[in-house]
Amino acid sequence: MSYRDSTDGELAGLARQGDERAARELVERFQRPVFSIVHRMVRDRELAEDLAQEAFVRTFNNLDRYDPSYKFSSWLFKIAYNLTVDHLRRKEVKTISIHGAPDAMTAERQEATSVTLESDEEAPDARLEALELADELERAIATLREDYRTAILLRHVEGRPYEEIADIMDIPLGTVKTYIFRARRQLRDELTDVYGAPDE
Amino acid sequence: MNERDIRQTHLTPDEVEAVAETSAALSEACREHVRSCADCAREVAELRRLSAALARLPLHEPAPGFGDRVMARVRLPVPWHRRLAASVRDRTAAGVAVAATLGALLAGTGLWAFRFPHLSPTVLASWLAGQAGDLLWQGTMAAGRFAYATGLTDLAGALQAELTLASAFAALATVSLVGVGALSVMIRLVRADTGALVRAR
Repeated sequence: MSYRDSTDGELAGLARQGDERAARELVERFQRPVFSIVHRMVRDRELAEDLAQEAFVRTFNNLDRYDPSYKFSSWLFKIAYNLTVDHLRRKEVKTISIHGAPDAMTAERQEATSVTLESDEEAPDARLEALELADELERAIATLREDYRTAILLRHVEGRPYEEIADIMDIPLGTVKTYIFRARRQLRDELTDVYGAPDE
Repeated sequence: MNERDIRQTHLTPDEVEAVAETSAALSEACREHVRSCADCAREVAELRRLSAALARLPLHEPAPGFGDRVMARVRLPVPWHRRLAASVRDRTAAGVAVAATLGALLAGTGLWAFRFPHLSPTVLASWLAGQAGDLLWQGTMAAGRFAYATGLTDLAGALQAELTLASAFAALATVSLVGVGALSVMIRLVRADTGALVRAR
């Protein structure tokens, strides 16, 4: 049986029976999406690794409670989201920067907590432009309120439907729509100088 | 999309999103409105631009070895048939260990009997019983001497004079209750479900 061709649900079922290869395949599939969301929320690479790792460990160590009718990725994101929000509330991290965590006092620490933007699909000029736009976008996302940020990242970066986001964040569907609407407005306002008006 | 007259008002955020994503559920009235309303057309264009930019954001990469570090801490559930097999293996191993010990004892006994043929099992058992009796006697005498030297015998005598049947029962009941309570707490601690700490609401 090929693990790569299996669905998330099938792999979760196998992992629940003690299949380590299935669990490892799930880690391979979701380590970047989970790490990305957590990293964009806490803006500290080391901390994001710890939180993402803990999310996977808790997910797998509680697989016997996993309901197969529930989407595995939703369950994993929900645990990662709860862990991250708990951490942010304990630490009360309010402001963040793309160039490093707010508590980064040394150059090494700033380097360690900064965001690296990569894109190798475009030609040099287009790539530079894309990097600048992505850089501005990351900067704008970092200014969003924590719940707006999570909602819009899940919607537009992860491509999750509204219902799933409501489930992950444990908030009503209408609230998710409001968060995403306000986040878009804020991002649009922040990026007006970079993107220009649509008619330009 | 709904009953209201779209020609008279601007599109709702849901409708703007449906137009931007060219949703199949989009009504012709919405399409028509966007063609004729510059404000809504701009909203749609801005949303498309923002969505595209967000979708192009790169995923962040964790440090190499992330998966290995996760798997090193993961304890996957073990199904019942594997637990049973492991239990059988453990019991088999324990059985082999007991058999090996007994075998070694028997071999040692045989060797002893071979080297000292005058020592029959009966003589050996009698000698061991004598040694144990001596040891018990000496222990009892030492305890008595200690009790006498420290005054414990006087204390025991005084207590015996004060002891009534009711107070003896009360003391016994108190000690039993404390013991049962302690046992109950220990059982709860052993069965405590640490997984419940996970906030997977």
